[in-house]
Amino acid sequence: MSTVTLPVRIAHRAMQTGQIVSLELVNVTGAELPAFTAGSHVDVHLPSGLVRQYSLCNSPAERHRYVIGVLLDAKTRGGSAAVHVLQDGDEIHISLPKNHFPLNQATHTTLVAGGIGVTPLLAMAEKMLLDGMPFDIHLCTRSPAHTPFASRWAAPEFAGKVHFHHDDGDADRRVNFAALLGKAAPGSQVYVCGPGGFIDAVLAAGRAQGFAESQLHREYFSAAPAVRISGDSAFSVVLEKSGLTIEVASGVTIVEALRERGIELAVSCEQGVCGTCLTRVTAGTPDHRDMYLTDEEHALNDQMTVCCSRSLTPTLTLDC
Amino acid sequence: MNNMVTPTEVKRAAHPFPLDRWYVAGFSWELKDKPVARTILSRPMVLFRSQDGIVAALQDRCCHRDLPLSCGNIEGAGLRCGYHGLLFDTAGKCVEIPGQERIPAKACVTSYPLRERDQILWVWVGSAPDSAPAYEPPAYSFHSDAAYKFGGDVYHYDAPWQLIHDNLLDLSHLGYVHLKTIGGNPKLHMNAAVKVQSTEETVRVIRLMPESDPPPTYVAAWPFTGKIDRWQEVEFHPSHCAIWTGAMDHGTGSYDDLSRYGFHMRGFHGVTPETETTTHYFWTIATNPHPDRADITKLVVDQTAATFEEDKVIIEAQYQNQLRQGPGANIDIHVDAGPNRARRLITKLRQAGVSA
Repeated sequence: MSTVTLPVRIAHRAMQTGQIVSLELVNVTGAELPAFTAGSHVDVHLPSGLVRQYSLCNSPAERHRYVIGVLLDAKTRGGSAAVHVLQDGDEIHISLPKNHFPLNQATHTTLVAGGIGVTPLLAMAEKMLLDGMPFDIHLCTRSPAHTPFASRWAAPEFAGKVHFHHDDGDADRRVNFAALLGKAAPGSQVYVCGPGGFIDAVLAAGRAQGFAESQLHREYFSAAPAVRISGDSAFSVVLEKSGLTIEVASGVTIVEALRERGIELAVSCEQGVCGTCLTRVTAGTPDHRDMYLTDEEHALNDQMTVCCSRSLTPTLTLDC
Repeated sequence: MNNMVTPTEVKRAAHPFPLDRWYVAGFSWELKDKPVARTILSRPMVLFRSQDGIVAALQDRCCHRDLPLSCGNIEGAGLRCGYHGLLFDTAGKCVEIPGQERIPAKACVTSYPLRERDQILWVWVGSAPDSAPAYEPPAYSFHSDAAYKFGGDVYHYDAPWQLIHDNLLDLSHLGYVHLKTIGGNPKLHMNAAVKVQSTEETVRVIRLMPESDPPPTYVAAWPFTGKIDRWQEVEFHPSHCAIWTGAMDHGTGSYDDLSRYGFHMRGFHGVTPETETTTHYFWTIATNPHPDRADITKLVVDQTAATFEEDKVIIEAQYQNQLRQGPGANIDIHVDAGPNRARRLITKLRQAGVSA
């Protein structure tokens, strides 16, 4: 999927907490950046070839920089780690800002953030401060030490508007969302961002408190392109019929790795769209990146499109 | 020379089309005082509304000497053949033979279950001649919703039906084919985030284009103030597509909100094979006129008609070229994910009920 990208330089890297880094991105030409609206995100093209989406968290009135905040997440496949190693002066490419989580005009707005989910909501809060719109932001984190952007929240303009909730990692001490939303101003528009379970809990509490669906907002979907462009970690492919084991390096597809060894597989679109290269998997777990198979078929993990999909296990055994 | 095969080794061909389901046969307003001849899934039918208001679909062939019944006339509770005057009721039974008292028990023509719902005529096409409908045809509320006004038409395509599905499930072509009406910047469509979801009988393709420029039809129909947050949501069913497109002033609403205050175009697209190489295309477009532009419906319908005529030119040219040059090794691109899901679904449904 071809996309317009913008080269940016990391002007300032800061650790917000032990695991959250913020990056201030500026145009490499020194020119203003394209304007964005609160709730927008950019696709960040990482040196490894990975593409990840991160929300912009600074004021939409600013044109000299974009700020993103990234949690180092050991459970994901390396996108956040690739961001964390970036240093001041590094140059990367990003997409133009896209907004799938726009902020509506309202008489009152309630923002509910779980951990790193605060980033799009911080931009919304900045926008409402500028416009003089009434709002409250609830920031749910493990502890003060786990709370990013502390110096921003300490600014006088946020006084009385920002509310911290800490659970010290204990689910039983999680904030009571029903009580929290029950106290929200009548007709308040609610925006939630955070881990999936957190979002579900806030939405369920909102519905139980009588909020209409039109008052409840979450990011519509993560705008992942159909196929990530390249990269990711290396793995081995065992070809069951010939007994060969072939290494698939980072940035190389299974089809390409086999071709280097003189083995040609039928392939056409090279995008995971047409299904020509569909191959049976007899061991290992594929990392499905195609649009050809349905979610149910992906879950079976017994076949894969070898033109673009990779492996979640160190070894993948294919029926070829 | 042992070329005998046991029955279990015979792999029977799939049906040309998925069967045992409702297909769109027409619109209510088409059935007035004249019968309509229409071939549906290679079955020649005559559609008519009796003078007491019952709609019916019969085999378009008199059981006496084969004249199409569509050459006859509607009379009372039935349809009279235009050759020797045999009168058939809405169930296909001959009820009168002029000059002859006895009506043979075998004097009847095949009758197809036909339903009229929200101004859409649905015909049941079964795998066996006597297959009865297993369920009722779907409702289509936008033909009956006071907030929407609509218009539509019936087009005949010299092209196979699935080429039309391909077109409807991939609206990225708007930026190249429909610049005069609903198009807009091609890159906007081609680079927008697209989500494809599918179940056993549906495929959904969602494309969101926040903060984009309104295309000509949108500007004419709704007083947008600048950039728009635009959406295209296609819901494919084997017999039809429901397509919701529209836009809100940028930043004034959420895609989460299913009422989305702004300009709506609700398209109904009945895609019914006439034969394996020709198709009936039954379309309507419903819109929610802005209070200041209450008379906008005609413009939206006319511009939609112009848009769909552009599609017809493209698809028929595509098919003519396929005929002229034979099968080619087509290379799929990213926009084909939705159409390919639908093609897989249709292939599976065609195989249903065919013993291996």
